[in-house]
Amino acid sequence: MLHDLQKDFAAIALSNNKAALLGRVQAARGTPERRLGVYHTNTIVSLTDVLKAAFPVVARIVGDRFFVAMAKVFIEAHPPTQPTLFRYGHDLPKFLGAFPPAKSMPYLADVARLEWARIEAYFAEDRAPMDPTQLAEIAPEMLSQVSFSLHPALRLIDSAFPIFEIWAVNQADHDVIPGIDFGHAECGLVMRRDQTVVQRLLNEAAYQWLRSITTGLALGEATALVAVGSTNFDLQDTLHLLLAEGAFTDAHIVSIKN
Amino acid sequence: MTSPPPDNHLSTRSDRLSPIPVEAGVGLRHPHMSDFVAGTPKTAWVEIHSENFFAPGGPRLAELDAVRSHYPVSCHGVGLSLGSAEGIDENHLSTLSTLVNRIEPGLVSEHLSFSVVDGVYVNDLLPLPYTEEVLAIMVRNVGHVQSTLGRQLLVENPSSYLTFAESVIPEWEFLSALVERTGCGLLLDVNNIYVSAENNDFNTNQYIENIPGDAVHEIHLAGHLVDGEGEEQLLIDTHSDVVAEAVWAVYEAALEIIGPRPTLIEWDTDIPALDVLLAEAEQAQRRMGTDLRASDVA
Repeated sequence: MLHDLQKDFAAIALSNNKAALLGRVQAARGTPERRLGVYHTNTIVSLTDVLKAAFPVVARIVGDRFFVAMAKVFIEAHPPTQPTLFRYGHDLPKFLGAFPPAKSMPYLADVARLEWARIEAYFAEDRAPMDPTQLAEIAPEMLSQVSFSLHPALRLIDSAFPIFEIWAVNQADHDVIPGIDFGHAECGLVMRRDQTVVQRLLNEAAYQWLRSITTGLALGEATALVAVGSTNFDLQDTLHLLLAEGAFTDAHIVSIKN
Repeated sequence: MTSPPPDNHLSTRSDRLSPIPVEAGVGLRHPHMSDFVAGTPKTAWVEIHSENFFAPGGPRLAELDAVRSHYPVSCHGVGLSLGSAEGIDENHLSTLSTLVNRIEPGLVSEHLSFSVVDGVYVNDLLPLPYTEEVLAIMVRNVGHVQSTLGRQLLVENPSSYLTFAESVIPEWEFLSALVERTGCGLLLDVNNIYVSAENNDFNTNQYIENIPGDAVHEIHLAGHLVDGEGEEQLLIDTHSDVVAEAVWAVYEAALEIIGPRPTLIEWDTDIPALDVLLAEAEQAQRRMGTDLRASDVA
């Protein structure tokens, strides 16, 4: 049956497991092993290139030999499940977090998460950000009941490591990597503005406020929640920044349950 | 029926379904995107890999819309997996349909191969045994794609590195039967014919003479790699170089046997400067003969 043959062939392409098909294929010259091996090489090389393009900073940090060896293990464990390769690599950050050879680079998985957030932002749906003056039209006493619709390209990301800084110093225009203090946490957002992916650091309070908003809390609830743990939250500044980044597509009044 | 080739630099989306002219075109690849967005390269048409434009939004789609305003575009898929025993992925087909409606391409093509099994996608064009069972599966899948898209699909011959012991139908007969039973067209990849013929010992002219020439609506040309030594030497279809001399000779034989067709230069790995790519297209154009530029596809 064709389906069984296709399962066996996929096992060759992904894992170079040729045993099941050796008796069914023919080589005009040379060996069937050599012929089948071409499909394995093509598959691994092309998928490794896809991952390298999606995770250029991870690739730069670990170097080519490490990346190629790591990719081979990843591809076999997590082959693509869709024929749209711009979606391939979603599982890599988690994989890196549990990949023993990467243990000495505990920030690597979070750097990969940042790179994947950039990919998702790049390919997200096109939507116009909300007009900031829309908020000014809401009566002040109603402001606390405002809920925001998020832009499809908005991604939030936080880490115990300075991943935004690590990302920045690993861009191609940095020849010399300056010393980094790996001991501080960073959090922020990734967005797409005017067809360009941007990322922005947020202070902890602003980040927690935005995180609450993304879970569906209204403005007043999110602000009250931040006030519990922080004294340096500035709602005006945070709103100004997020509206300027185009993080929201709409604001509407919700009725708060008591 | 004869019609003049469209002037690409005057054409707009108002000529909705710009047909692909019987001239040379090039594959649209990311490093050259800004040139094609501006509409400056002098080429008769461009071809995209459909799946690269499957995202719901973002800069790539916006760029493609701009390119489409300057050139006729052909959509060449690599992920539909026409040969899958499990049938066609409806989500994938539906996204392709959305793209086709947006771009209104002159041609839509896919491969005689499979790449999906049990929901896993293998990023390669894997070979099929040529049997009645597989032909029935291909006929069903191609028919389904054509009825969903509401248009003809071109099916491309693969490059192959082996043959199956169970194959009983030569590839050219398999493709002829597919055309006959589904009304699909063919995308003749001349480099693939050469690569497969060298790897699997058949005669390229026998192949070209035995496919239905009237069904061929496009030709592909690309560079390949000679890999390995002695008995284990194989030609690998890498799309990583200029078209080999031996492949140009097969192209000229195809022009002789079938006649001129829209011809595309594919270059996907080690992508060169744009002028190198355009020079390859010019070479295809020269071999096609400029006096044939206005003749229509059969």
